[in-house]
Parts: sequence; C-alpha cells; structure tokens
Amino acid sequence: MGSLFHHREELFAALRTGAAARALALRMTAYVVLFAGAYGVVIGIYAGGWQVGYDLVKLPWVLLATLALSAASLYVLNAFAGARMSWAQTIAVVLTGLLATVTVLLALLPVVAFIMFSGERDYYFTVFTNVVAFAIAGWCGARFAMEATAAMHEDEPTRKRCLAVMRGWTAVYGLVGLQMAWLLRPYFRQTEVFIRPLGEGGTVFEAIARLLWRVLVTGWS
Amino acid sequence: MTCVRCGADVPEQAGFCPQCGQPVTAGKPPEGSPVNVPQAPPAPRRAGLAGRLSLIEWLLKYRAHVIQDIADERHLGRYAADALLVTVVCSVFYGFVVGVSVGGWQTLYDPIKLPWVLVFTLLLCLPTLYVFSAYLGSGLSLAQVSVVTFSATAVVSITLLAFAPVIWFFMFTAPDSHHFWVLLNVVVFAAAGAFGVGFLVRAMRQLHAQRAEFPKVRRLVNWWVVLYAVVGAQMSWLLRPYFTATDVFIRPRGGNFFVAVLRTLIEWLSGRGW
Repeated sequence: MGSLFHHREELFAALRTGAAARALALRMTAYVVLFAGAYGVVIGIYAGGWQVGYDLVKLPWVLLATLALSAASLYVLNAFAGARMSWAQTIAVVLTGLLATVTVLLALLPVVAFIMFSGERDYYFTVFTNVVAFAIAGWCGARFAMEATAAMHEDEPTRKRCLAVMRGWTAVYGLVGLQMAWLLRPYFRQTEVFIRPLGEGGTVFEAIARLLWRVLVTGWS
Repeated sequence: MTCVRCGADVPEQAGFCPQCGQPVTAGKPPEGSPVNVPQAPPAPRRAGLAGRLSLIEWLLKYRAHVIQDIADERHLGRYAADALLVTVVCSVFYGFVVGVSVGGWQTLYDPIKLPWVLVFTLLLCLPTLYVFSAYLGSGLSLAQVSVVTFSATAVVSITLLAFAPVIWFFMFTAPDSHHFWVLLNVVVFAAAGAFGVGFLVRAMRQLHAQRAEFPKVRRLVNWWVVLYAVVGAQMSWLLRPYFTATDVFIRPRGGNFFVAVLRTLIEWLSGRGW
C-alpha cells in the first residue's frame, strides 16, 4: 500500500514518457477497484443485507464513473493549457490521485470501522464519520494528483497553467462526484433496492442547501 | 523556481519549498522527456470528413501552426470550412445532449438552435471586428479575420463537447431541477467562451508579432468580445426555450437575457418555484 508513495518518482517518470501510461492506468484502475471495493464491503457489513454486495460495487463506481464523465474536459483543458498529453497519460495522472485517495481511505478504515461498530448505532454519526474520512482522503488524493501533474511538465509556464487547470478540474470532478455519490445512496442502510429512484431529491447541491437551511433556520428537530 | 508540489515560488538556493516543505529536487523531470517537446509540424490534414474533423486535434495541439498558416494566408478557405464544420458538429452534439434530457420536440430543436446561435452571432459581429481592426491599422484581410474568428468559435464548441458528458449526467440524474440546469449550462457556456477568447487573443498576438498595432488590436478584441457576448446572449434569448419541452420552435419575442438570468438565480437561491 505504501509503495505508491515510496516510488512516486519512478511512477511519474514512467507516466511522463507515455509508453507505459496505458498499462499503468489499467493497473491503477484495478487497485482503485480493489481498495474502494474493500472499503465498500466494510460499510456494507455495517448496513447489512444486500448492501454488502451493493456497496462493494458502488464505491469504485462513484470514483471511476465520475472520472469517465469528466475525463474529456480535463483532456481538452490540458490541451488549451499547452500540454501534450495523450488520453492515457491524462487519465493515468487522475488515477494516481484516485489511488492515493483509496489508499488513504483504506488506511483510515480500521479507525472508521472501530468507530462505526463499537458505539451505539447512530445513522447520522456514521455518515458524518465517513464523510470526514472521504474528505481527508480526497484532499490527499487531490494533492497527489497535483504533484503528478507538476512532474509531467518540463516547461515552466506550461506547468503553471496545467496546475491551474488541475486545480479547477478537481472542483469539476468533486461536483460530479458529489452528485454521483448522492445518486447512488443509500450506503449505510439495509435496503433491497440498489439505488433510489432517479430524480428523487434533485441535485446534491439542492439537498445540501435544504439541509443547511434546516440546520440554520429551523434548527434540528 | 517553482515548487513541483504546490506551485509556490521557491528561492533558487532553498532546499525545500517555503509553502509546503516539498524538497526542491523531488519530482523534477529529467532532461529531454518527451512531454512538451516543441511539436514538429504535423502531417497535412487529409481530405474527407475525418480529415476535416481533425481540425479539432489541430486546434487542441497545434494551435501555433494553425495561426501561422492563417498569418501566411495558406489554406484559408479550407480552414474556414473546416472550422465551421467542427463548430456545427460539436454544437449539434451538445444541443442533442441537452435536447434528449428535455425530451419531446426539443430533442430535435436544440441541436438546430445551438449551432444557429454560435454561427449567426459570429456572422453579425464579424464585420465590426474586420472594419475596426482595419481602421486600427492591423492589416488583416477579411478572410484572415473570418478564419481566426471561425476557429475561435470552433474552440468554444470543442469545449462544450468536452463538458457534454458532465451536462448529460446532471440533466439525466436530476430531471426536475430546471433552474439548476439553466445555471449549469450558463456556467459551461461562459467557460467555453473564455477559452474561445483565449484563442482569439493568442491568435491576434501571433498575427501581429512584433508590431506596434497589437496593443490597440488587443483592446479592440476585448470590446468585440463584449459585443459578441451581448449579441450572443440576445440571440440565444430569442431562440429559447431550450430546457422546456414544447411544440413551438421558439417563443414569441419579448424579455431580455440578463434580467432572466438574474431572476433564475434569485428563484433558485430563495427556493421559490421548485
């Protein structure tokens, strides 16, 4: 698990030459599926029932389907920033970030699981714990992807522009990922259905606005 | 020197980045790595549809080469036709993505309306840019100005195409969030427009390389972009609806774009009209 971070220079160098980018992207995808799936199984065990299998699928799906939807925009924005990266390199750079995310997530899993399983079953506290774990892991992943982006470009102005692009694109990925995660809920409840009906609750942003409104104006209750 | 991790400025003799502590040697690319090597002129584009659409790749990767061709007045007719084709193909696809999510006749209308807005707005504003640039002494021919602006419009529609999957996802998964769709599309259009402007400015800089007229032309471009945005906003307002399933192609004339966007924003934030 630590080898991603120990051998980052070799990884970035291999991505930079481009020859091994496709093979590396495939390998990293496999690891992302494996690690995120493992995390999903533990959440699923907490929820119980079918959710064990569902969460196993849902977690890797959220990370990778979001990438699939937003990869084109990164490729085009990078090209406008002056990068000469192939599709495989573009996707591989993001995958280094995702792999860093799931690695950190897996490292946090023992603590998260301990909190989830040891106390009284409180749905909202469980959700909160997982959101915090994802936020920490996502932040580390974004930092790592920035590092990979920086290592891809030799030319100073191009590197600066590509870092700016990556920063902006991370926001796009985050927004699409939030909606994707919102779409695939529930995660922590035992249900028969894989996901809720489409369109229920609109976008995640409206849900967050409603939640904030409820907390700030009407109070909990 | 710049930190490879956070992009902050690092003093030359420093061993670590003062912002994030990253060692300055780590992650530094070795000499001669193949990313970002100056691109050799690509092989000429072929005939046929694929060859014409390969302008997309050229506008993404070999912009300097395209602009140099425009400066030397090479293949201007072909560039103009191909840029128009790219604009139409990409914006038809984007319009289709939006139209499919709305449903009904809009599936058919939106793919017509989008290229219409982009192309006709440009045609309306093109004479202004040409005449004023000539007035300021830029010396560009009408053909050159046309090809530059057609290419900028193509860049806009390529950006739209790149965001089409994201737009589709939000429209498909939140079928009732009408206000959100409108704002999302406005944001994506604004971003795409910004890249189009970026291309236009870059092209003008290269076309006026080492000439005293460039600062004046640069200011003209700024004003012209505002003009294009206003005309484009009104044109797109004229052709609405885009996000409502209707039988009519366009609504009766009336109203204005800027008031409508403000109203949508206020309605969305205040929660009325959900």
